[in-house]
Amino acid sequence: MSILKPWNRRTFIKASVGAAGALSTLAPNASQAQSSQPKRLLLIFTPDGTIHDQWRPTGSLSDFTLPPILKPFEDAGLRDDMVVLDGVRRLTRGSGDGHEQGMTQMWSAVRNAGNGRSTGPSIDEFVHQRISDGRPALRLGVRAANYVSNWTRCSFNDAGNPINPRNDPYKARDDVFSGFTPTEPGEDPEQDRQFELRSSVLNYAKSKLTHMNNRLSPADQVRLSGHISGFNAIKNAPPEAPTLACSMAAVDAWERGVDPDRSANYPKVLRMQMELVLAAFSCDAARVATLQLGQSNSTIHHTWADSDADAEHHSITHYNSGYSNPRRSRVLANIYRWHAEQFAWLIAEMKRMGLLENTVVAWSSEMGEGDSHASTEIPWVLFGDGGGYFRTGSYANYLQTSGAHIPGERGVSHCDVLTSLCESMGAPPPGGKFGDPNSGYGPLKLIT
Amino acid sequence: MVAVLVTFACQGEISTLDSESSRGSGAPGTAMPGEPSDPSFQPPTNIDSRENCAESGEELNVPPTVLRKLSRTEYRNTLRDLGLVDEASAELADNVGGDLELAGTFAIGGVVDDNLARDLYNGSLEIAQHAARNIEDLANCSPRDSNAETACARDFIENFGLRAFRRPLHASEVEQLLQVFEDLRASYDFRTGMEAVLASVLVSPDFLYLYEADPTGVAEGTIVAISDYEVASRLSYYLWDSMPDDALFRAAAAGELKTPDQLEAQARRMLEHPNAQVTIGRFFSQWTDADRLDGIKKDDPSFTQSVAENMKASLQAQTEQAFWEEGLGITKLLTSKTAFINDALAPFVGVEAPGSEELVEVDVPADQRSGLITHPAMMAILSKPGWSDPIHRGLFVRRNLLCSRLPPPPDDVSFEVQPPEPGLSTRERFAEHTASETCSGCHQMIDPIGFGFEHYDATGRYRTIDEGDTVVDASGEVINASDADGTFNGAVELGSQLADSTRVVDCMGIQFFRFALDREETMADACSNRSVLDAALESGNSLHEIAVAIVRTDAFRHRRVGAWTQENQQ
Repeated sequence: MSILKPWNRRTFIKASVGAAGALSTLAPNASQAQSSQPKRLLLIFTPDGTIHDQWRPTGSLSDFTLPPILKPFEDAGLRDDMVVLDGVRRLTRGSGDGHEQGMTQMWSAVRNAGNGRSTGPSIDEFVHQRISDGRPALRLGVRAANYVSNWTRCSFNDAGNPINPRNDPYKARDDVFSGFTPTEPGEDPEQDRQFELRSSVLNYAKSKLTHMNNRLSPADQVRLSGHISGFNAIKNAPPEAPTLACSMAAVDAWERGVDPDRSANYPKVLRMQMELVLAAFSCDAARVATLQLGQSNSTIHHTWADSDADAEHHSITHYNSGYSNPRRSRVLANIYRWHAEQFAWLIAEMKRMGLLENTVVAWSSEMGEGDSHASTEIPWVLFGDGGGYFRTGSYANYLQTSGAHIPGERGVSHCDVLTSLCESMGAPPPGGKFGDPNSGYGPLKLIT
Repeated sequence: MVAVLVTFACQGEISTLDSESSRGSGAPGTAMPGEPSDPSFQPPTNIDSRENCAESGEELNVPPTVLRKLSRTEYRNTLRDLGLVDEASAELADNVGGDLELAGTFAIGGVVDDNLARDLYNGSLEIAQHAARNIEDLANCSPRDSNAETACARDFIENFGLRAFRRPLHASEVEQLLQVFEDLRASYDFRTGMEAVLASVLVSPDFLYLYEADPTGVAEGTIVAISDYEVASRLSYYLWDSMPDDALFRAAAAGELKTPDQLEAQARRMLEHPNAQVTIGRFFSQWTDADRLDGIKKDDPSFTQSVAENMKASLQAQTEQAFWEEGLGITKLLTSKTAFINDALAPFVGVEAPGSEELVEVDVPADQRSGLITHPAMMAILSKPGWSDPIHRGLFVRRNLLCSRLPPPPDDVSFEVQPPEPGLSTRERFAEHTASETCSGCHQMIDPIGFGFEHYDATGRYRTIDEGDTVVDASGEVINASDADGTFNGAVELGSQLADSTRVVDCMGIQFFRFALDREETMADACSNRSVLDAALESGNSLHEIAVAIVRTDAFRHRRVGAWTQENQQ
């Protein structure tokens, strides 16, 4: 956008230089680092479940061996920074099959409302409203469908309206790092003109939205709610100057013109989106981010993960059904392992940059296993202790543990995972449970 | 419990709400068409219960409408028709997406979130900045003094505002925009004032949404005729995916968009415009899900991307011929013995290469092909990469041609279907579907139709031996679909059976109804749907006449005052 300029980069450069020295002192004085760091949350979604026999660790809570799909995290030195949650179940119910309910309920834990809507906010939105302090949330996608349906969206606002992920890393970057910055009055006449014009147009838009909203039925007001809150969030003012080690180098070095809609660019765009998360977190320009890779019923051909993956990911999950087919299992495991390698790079970078303090990264899928659309044994892995909340370096096997998780049954409700994530962010849900209170039992045991 | 409910819902195709599902989820009144607030709620259908229409004594009945954002296509076209085509408007139109899929087929506008709000704001400002460089052209005046400037601005606000909001501006709206102009002109200049006005109009929700205002002083629940300007927009967004043209605005101003005859005359005029060809093309491509051919992969290496592209064009030609050529219609659509092919497609249809790169209409084997439903593009779309997919073939007939409502399969049901192996027929591989009590309720309505397509492999070629090396048995049956019911042998017989059925004509009317009104039909629309069916039957099942008949319906011309709720759809 020609009117918009990157935020004054000098501030960032200055901060980066200043932080080079500070960074080296972070490690020996972790508690000091913690107190200076804000809480941050990154949710990652990959579609269509996993292959359990290659995802499930063996061993006990603290003494366990990672399976092939999760091995890349160990290779990246992250074994002691992770929590593997085995036996997570979706007890929430709504409309649609496992793809549809799984996707819309994964981060919201309430009944879905059809047509890609939920009946309440997802945790990224819930936490964002409580910790972002005026910063935007980064909703990133890599080839996520550009239409809204029950299987394409997993972030929702308070009214349950879907929030669309940005597949285009350049646009996402501008969401966080560009904007209109007014200069001192009189310094630059064109900037003055722009400022007055923009203010006038913003006021007009808000007044028309209010006028229309006042004449709408309550149902239509729900439909307009995201529009109104979106305009209320618009400011023609610079953001707070970054106070942390601000690392923009990777984003500044981005190749130009990478087409995010092109299939072959998937690995490249994923890397760019992850670099953007690192930049935004390190500059404290965002505190909440989501990364949605494709969507449930994924149509992506993951040939970079396995040359035999040259078919829609979702089709492969229903291929030659059953685990007995070695080719299907191998291809799917390679797809998930390839993604683990990418996320391992991201999280290792966070750790190296001192960002993993007070940060939690959660990687999940909308279902347990793709062929049966299972709502049981959904793969969840967490990284970072969230400032001491999670006991990392753990394999929590809720399938083997009897206890106060789901009375009389094995496993743990995914509501409880979301509850713990909120608590780790210092944003406990009202009533001690996130989402449908009849499907949750409170924060996770064993690892908190 | 789930199994029982699913079985019940499918066998009965119950067309009224049971008390369980109408109780709501605690968010009453927030549902929109196809978007029930209670997840177990299946929108009511009237296709199985036409007596409702007769019972009501033809009394006027329509449901309320909802606020609707322009879809991506509509937004792009509207900016184009306002004369605002540049890079900024193209980029903004791309971002405006997040469209919803109505009933799994047609794209309709979704909602605005934080990112889109920011895009709308910045994009509108940028479009205005570009346009303001030649504001005299857009405003059609070049004022010489400040009085003339104000007059010019007022003129622009009234004329451009009318086109952008698709209705005359209220006096207070004109004054508000004039104030925006005056403020910016006072600080800067005429151009800045006009730029601010243009950007303001573009960021206004009155531009982005199709909003039909409740008349004042009318009680909730009252059925009212929508205004002439609102009719103009319904017509133009239905048939052109864009804003009304000057003729429609003139007709609205003259109060000439009231009677069914007036609307029909407009619809016939509009269908002759090139925009309508594109829009009708969108109807068929979304109805057939033709975009799935983009990047589709098959195990058979002869099915290349170029073949897929040719198939897509061929499918489009086939559907558009049935729509546009007089005297063809649904019968041609479902039973055609010709196809549009070129040399690349010939082997897939089973004919000699016509010696042409361009698509040409050729005769196809009459005992192997029957119009759209056996078109290789459809068969390829409705297949797995390596084998036929009787379930989705059956579902296409069930949902898109018979308008049956089927609930999704329950969670945690294993979808394990045995892969092809020698000696095992497709039918045997799917036996569990009809043997299991959980599955059979719905699948007895789907699978026996899908098996009728077993003569077509994953690339659409005709065959007599299936993936399991067994001889194809393409016998099938349609049940629970009124006069489309009956046994058949192979899709060619099925095509004739469907083409002879009133149910299919009725359903095509419903598909156009959804496309026109961007919502699903309800019980309250029974008489509207009935009137489309009557017109279609009278025209010899013409698709073109169905498209026209939609605009004559009560539903197209009226709305019920108040919010859309589950209760008032009855």
